[in-house]
Amino acid sequence: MQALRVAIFLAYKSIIKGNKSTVFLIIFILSLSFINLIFISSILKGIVEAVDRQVINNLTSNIVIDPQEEPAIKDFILHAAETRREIENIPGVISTASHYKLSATLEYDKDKNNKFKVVSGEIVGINPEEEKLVTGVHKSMVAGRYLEGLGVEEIILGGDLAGGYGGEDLISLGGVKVGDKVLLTFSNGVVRNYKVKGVFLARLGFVDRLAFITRQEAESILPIYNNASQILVKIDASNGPNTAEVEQYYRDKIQSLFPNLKVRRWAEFLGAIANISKSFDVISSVVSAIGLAVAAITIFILIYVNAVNKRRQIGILKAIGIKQNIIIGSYIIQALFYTLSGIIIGLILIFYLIEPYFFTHPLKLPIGDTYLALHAAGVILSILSLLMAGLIAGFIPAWQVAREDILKAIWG
Amino acid sequence: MIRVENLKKIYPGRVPVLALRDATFDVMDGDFVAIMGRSGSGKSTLLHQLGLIDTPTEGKILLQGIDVLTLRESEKTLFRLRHMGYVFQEYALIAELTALENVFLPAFALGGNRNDYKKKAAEVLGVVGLSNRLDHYPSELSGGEQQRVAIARALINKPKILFADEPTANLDSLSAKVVLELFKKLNKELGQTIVMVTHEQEDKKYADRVLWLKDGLIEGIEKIT
Repeated sequence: MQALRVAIFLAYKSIIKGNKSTVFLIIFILSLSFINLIFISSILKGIVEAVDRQVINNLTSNIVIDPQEEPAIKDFILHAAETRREIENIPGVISTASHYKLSATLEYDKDKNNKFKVVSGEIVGINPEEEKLVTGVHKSMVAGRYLEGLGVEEIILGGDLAGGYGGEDLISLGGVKVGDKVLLTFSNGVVRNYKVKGVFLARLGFVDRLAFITRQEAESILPIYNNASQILVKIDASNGPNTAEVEQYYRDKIQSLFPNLKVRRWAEFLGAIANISKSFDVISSVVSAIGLAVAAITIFILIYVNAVNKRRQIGILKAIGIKQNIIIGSYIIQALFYTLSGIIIGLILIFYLIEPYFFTHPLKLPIGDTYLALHAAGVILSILSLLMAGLIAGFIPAWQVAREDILKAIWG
Repeated sequence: MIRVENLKKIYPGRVPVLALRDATFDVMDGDFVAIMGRSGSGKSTLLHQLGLIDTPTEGKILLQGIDVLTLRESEKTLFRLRHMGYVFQEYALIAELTALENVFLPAFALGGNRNDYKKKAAEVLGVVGLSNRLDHYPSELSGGEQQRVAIARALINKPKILFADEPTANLDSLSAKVVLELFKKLNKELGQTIVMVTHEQEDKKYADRVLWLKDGLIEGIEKIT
């Protein structure tokens, strides 16, 4: 305990009597290192969360239920209404929506000269009102209106499919306008002419290549009743650090109720998207590790230069009977002081300047608005990592210099 | 009491240097011994071995009956703190500490009440005549004052032995006289054992005995009357 008090005293005097502008500069550099550590990983996490949000809100919701695959593959989920009702009775489930998935070729005569542009696409049959409770396509309308009621012979198109909204020309109809007619030939041979009621742009390729018709319309094409190609389930606590665990809990619950259906979390359903998230996590970890290494090297150089400049003083301290661990301790305390000060200033800048700025001025990316994803666990991990780096980077040079022979330290 | 037996120091290198050869002598409690000799005779080398800030190649040093060369490094550090005071040629104060802080540091490291060691440090600084310089930093003190602060620091833990390595070498004659008078006073009035290296002939008058060194060998011991 006494050794610690002496070490603190020596560290305190060294900081107080040190060059003030150098001390402030060191702390400033370390605060930038800390911000770098937090900022890059937060912005990358923010991009991942924006993608996740877009996928959940516009395509899959939290849980996706497909028809059974074992023992025999089925095309549809039977008794869809009853199945959904049972799922909606599970506490915490907000709502469900059933989809019919149809494939069709779409033809559009833009210039009314019998020259049709033909593309193939996926047509989804939905109940417009139920869909509003599960996905956010209705909020993404950029032209015309969302589907309503029975919606006979009405269709809404994704921006990439309609064309003219920045997507690839090859897969688009070349610029369909609201009120235009498109001819659909479904895979079962049914041919229908639809009036385009609206165009939506969810800024997510998967979604913006789709077209939506009403469920009744889909049932009349197939023709079936009260089936579903897919059921989407929206659950509570969708956005939070434990979302995956919550989703897994509901997935397991639903699976236990319907063992024959294929129940998956959205990330399992879209393996590729989940891989993108993992890739971003890897990039984030690599960038954080580099940031941490830079911070550690900064502290190392600072303490090393400080300790080397005070070699004689260290020799004198040893000669008058001050233990080596007290001397090392005083340098570690200095390193921790600089690191902690850098962290505190960094936290103030992040939470009172950078985060509020990004909240009001999010990054406008093609996938949507991207915010800083600051999670307590990540921030705490960064604080602990930097403190650990400070501890090690402070210890090594102090130990190297303090173990030097007394006479060599004093006279060089 | 200090007992030195067959002490030898060889500095290794391409051409090893024999700096100290079979030094054998005693210093009794309350003695004031000066180690003298020409430059390169091994005076400082001998003091470094006695002060445990260097390790001899061979031989034995008994300080207060303890074979100090058998101690581990951490034990030697504690021994220096508890039983020895060491005054260097070039003041060797910690620039970031005031005179008072420089002096109380060894007492602080030894433990005890904070106010006690501050009070004790102020008293010792009073003994060396620096009561009015307690809160001054080394850069605000003259060479002589700095050396007196270093002496006060060496005395704070009431050491059994005070080692001084050419303590007046960097001082003007007046300051040097003040320091040597102080040593004499400490020795006569407080019975402080002092072993001092000096190359100034006139300094020997302050000592009881002079250990003459030549080429690392003790040439003779002169008793000062």
